Amino acid sequence: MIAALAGLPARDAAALKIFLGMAFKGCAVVQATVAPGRALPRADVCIVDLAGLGLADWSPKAEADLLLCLGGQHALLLGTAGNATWQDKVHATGRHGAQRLAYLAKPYGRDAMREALDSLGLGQGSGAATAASPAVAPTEATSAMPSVFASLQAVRTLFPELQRHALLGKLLDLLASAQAQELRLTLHQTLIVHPRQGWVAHNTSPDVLARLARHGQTAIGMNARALDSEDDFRRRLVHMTARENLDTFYWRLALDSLGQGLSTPSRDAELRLVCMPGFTRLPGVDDLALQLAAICLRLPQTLSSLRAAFPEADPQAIDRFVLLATVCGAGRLRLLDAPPRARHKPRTERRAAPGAPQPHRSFFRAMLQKLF
Amino acid sequence: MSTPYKIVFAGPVGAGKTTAIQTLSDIEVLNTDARASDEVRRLKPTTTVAMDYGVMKLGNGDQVRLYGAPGQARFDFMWDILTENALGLVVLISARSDDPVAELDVYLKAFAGLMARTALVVGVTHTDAGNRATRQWLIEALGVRGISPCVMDVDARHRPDVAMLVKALLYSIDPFAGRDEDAEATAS
Repeated sequence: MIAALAGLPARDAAALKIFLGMAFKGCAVVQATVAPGRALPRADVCIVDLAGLGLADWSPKAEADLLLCLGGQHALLLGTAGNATWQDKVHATGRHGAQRLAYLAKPYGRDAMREALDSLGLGQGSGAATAASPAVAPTEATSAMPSVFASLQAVRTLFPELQRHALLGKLLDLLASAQAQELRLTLHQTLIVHPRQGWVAHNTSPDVLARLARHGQTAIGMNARALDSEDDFRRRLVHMTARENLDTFYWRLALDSLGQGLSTPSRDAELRLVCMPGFTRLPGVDDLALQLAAICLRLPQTLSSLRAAFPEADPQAIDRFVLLATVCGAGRLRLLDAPPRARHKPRTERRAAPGAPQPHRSFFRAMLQKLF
Repeated sequence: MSTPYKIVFAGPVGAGKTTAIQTLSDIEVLNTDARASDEVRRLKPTTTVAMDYGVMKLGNGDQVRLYGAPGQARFDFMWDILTENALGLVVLISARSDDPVAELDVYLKAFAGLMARTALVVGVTHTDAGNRATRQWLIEALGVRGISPCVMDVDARHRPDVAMLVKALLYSIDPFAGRDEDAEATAS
């Protein structure tokens, strides 16, 4: 299913995009630019904010302009609750030939939106999930997932300071490898990276690793080799004294390498998490990291939308999360053309089983306080 | 008036469900452990036959009831009862398992209805003694099945680990959980 959004404030558009991805499996959302006299792009449904199109008040001309804009496509019109004229018009006509129209008064909730879209026949199509299934990733997003290699290129472009850290750079080169790789750190200290199985083994101390990460110019001369025979792999593994998850190892090493300061990205980028980073094995994980991860695990998010979603957070903390999530292999990054710009925050619908008490904010606050 | 919420812990025998609930609960965990009399005995001396029950009492008066579903499949009739109206699901899988993906699959199937409506997090236990690749296998298995993989290593005895897992569950339900409504209104 394709949904075209027009005239919606950025915040509402972002929230709807998330909602549609959750409620209609495989739904692709197009944010349409409205030009006078031009129809919206082809879509299964257009969701149109009347005020955003300058059509808040009904008039014969406004109606004609709207119908021209819709180009005969099904549409859900968003307007104010007291706007009886538009409501009456939509209810009276309901259909213009094969075109179906529905009106939804703002503010609307998830259920009202779902009901309105169902009234346009969208809930019955084969592409529609039977229930909002937030745990299910939209197929559209999955198919657009950049490769590990492309993702690492993107993060290197976005954060050029990564090039200054030789050890981290070497390790990032190994991330796209399918085979286990051995990296010799010193004469007696080595490290084995197994991206496919998601772990790193080494026989060095965390202090040495941290030192190499910070002053890693010696790493320039380090060579990696593939452990392509099972015998070789087992023989080398015997000498390893520590083994840990790849994502937490890379995350920590990147933090050690880069410290707290980061350059401000000059471009916008979109992050999609392929898994939640192993936060239980990382020190000092704050709520923001968990929240950002939860959002990016659902749907790809841009740097700018994340910043808008957490206006109270330090933008550098968000940039750092995007960087760390990418270099640890948990996320895939794609560069966008536009520079990061301030946008309104996206909203997400809460999940709760029907019949379950709807969690309220004070519950979440109290629960989070209790957990930490 | 306080509102009761429910979180369900599921997983195979010996994965650490009872321990995880004990770690979080504010009350002595009520359990229905019995002496194991079957193949379970080689894994542990007692096992849960109906459910574990713990409670977290929150500062605002709400309560979170923590239910541990019995691990053996023959008690699966309890699973539907326990998951009714649950807020979310925590599945624990031991890294010592011979086939952790198959074990996860049992619970993905059994709790498909709940997962479609709410959120799932997976904790990998016994990682010190188990296969280090377990977490990656589970992540891939969830990804292949179209489920967002939230999988973390946990020591069920270690409160920060279990708390982090439950916190991830809450943020999976609502990424803006806990945000002050006034602050949110101001921000928007």
